[in-house]
Amino acid sequence: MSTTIKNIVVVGGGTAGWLSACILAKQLNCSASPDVSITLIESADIPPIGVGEGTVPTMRETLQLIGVDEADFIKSCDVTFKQSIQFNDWLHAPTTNQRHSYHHLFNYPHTPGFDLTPYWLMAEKKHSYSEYVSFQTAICELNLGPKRMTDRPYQSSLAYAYHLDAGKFASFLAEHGQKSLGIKHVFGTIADVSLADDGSIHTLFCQDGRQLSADFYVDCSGFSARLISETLKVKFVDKGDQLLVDRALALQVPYSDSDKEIPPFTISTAHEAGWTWDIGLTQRRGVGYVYSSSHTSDERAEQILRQYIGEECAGLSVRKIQMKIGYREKFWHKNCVAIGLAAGFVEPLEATALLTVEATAKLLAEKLPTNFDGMAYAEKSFNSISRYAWDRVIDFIKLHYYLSKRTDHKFWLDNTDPSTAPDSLLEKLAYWQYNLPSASDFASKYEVFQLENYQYVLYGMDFKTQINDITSRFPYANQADIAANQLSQHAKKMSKQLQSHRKLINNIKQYGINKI
Amino acid sequence: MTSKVVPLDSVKHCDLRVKVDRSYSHIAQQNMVPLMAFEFLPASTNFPIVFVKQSETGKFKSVALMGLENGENVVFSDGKVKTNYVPVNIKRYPFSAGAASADEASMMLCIDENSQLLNNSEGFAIFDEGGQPSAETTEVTQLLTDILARDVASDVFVDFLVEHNLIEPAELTLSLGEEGKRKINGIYKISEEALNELDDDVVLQLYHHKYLPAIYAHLASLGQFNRLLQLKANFTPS
Repeated sequence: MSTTIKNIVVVGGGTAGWLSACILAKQLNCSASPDVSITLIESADIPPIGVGEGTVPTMRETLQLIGVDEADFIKSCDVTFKQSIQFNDWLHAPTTNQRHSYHHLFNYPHTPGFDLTPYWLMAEKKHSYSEYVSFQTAICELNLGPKRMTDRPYQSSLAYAYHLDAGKFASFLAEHGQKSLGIKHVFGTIADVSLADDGSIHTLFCQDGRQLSADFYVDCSGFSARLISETLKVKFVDKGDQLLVDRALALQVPYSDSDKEIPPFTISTAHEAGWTWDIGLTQRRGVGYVYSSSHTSDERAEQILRQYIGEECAGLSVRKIQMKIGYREKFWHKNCVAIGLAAGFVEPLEATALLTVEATAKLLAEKLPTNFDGMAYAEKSFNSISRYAWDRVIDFIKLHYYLSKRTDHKFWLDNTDPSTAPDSLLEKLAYWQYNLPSASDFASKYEVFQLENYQYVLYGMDFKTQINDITSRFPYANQADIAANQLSQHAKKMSKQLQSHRKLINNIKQYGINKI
Repeated sequence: MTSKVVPLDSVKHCDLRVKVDRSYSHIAQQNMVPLMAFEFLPASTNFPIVFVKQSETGKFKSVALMGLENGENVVFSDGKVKTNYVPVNIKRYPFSAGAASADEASMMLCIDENSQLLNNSEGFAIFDEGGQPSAETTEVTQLLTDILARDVASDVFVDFLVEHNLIEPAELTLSLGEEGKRKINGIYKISEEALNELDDDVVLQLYHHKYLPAIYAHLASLGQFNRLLQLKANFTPS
């Protein structure tokens, strides 16, 4: 017997749930197929965690894929543009007259037919790495938006993503998913789950007595992991020994001046036992301190956070979030896949939360078998790809800490101790001491962070690749100079065409985005 | 020199006079000028009329094209005027209309303080000896009040075209003789295909709004790209 998989239930009404449901509904063409259904069940009693406010440029593809109107999205979710993450004080603890800062840009390094990196390494360091290889650094520093009003939706010559209000984003997707993609929505808190003989999920029983059965279940229930953990008992692989932060304090800070410029990038600032995120939305900033509870107390953490924000946070109360760092031993088990916090979590440093939701949901849409015969292979393949992707994400996050030269707190000493770093990262770093990183170091297309991402962090953090003995391999110094000059000319030209970030947002709200 | 448009001030500008320049040399380094819908018919035998996106809003504006690259004008150049129609937005110079405030429709007369046409001895006086607007200024005020209303009507016309999916990118490749072929980006036109597939009730609306002459004048004007090329071939920049 081989039943076709037609009905899917998504558990959880946060951003992970709605985004997954939208991607699946689009790929399965639900609205045009009467016998295929996607139902999202949301508990009115369990609030979503709602702090995922940062995205990466894949979000543009995802929103386009599911048919979202970019201007509507920008208006509805307090959206601002993100072109980079600026990392402050990660290399050195700040002193009164010196602070270290670098950008991880979304525009990939410019390649005029060859990699500019060795020429930057050999040159006198007049420019930071990101300034040398991309004009986007200048655009960010000038607080300019990434697109012109004449650019079509989702189009621009600059790579960009968004900052958004997570709660509003979930509501926006809920409306879009129901109206345009044919997703069914029910409210209900799951009281019990029954299993079939083979151990797969059979029926969900709600507190109000309702029952829901489907061929396939997607667990987007957040940290509670209602199906994958509570019902199916899939174990959690703890990665707290590599990524040491496990707690966050979050605050929403309204702007005192509504015309204040908004940085078109996320600001990530390192502190004694963690780091703060600082994300400017249209009406407020979202700020939070992520820290290690075994290195500092909650009281001290709140003090650090309030010091960072200054007087603007007087009277505002903080929210405390406990984080389990790691991922499930299996993301797909029988007829259930976990996506979002139910699947795993690594601190929000590179906006990986929504990113992994997008990637996992797309992979599921691709791998979801036609009938139950294909289930075993799909499960195996999905799990091995996902596990690989998570491990590489952990490598990349750890890289930010591991390259630090901070010694001001045990947190940093522990973080730079090789015993806390994955071997897969250590072996690459050892190789890159004398060899330039190349695309072949990132051979899988399921690696979320690629060569270019590593280049920005490695060389932003002053990593020294020793190429002194092989300089003869790099004969294009003149061409590199020309390219670097052209980039700074281009930065000047673009800065005249682009509007300030706040003005761009205001104009889009007023005029929309021309689709033609 | 870049323009500096300010509201006309009877104290600050009391001694100013405006030279009359029938060669409109102020436009010689500008390749397009906004053209209102009512001008499409007379303009269409002289230059291409196309739609471009405005940098501030991204919205379409109809323009008369008078050169094929930035800074080039082959219609108004060398003190010569190679057209039998001068768009209102060229004629009005150095005056322009500004809205008195964002939410008000009333017009405020503005002037480009950096205009070469302004001086203290030649041409007509902006204000008479009593500090009142001169007859010429009153006339310009009337013209601009008229423009403001017609400009709004033009925007409504363009909105109608957009709403009915009638505007498409104009893919244009020009043969420039020795220079080879050049692709022109960023200009838009009405799609004949979309126009021919309109529902009857929309066609009737086009008729009642009197949009049809402007639409066909625009389509006919696209033939004037060849005229620009001809003028360009004989055009030697000074």
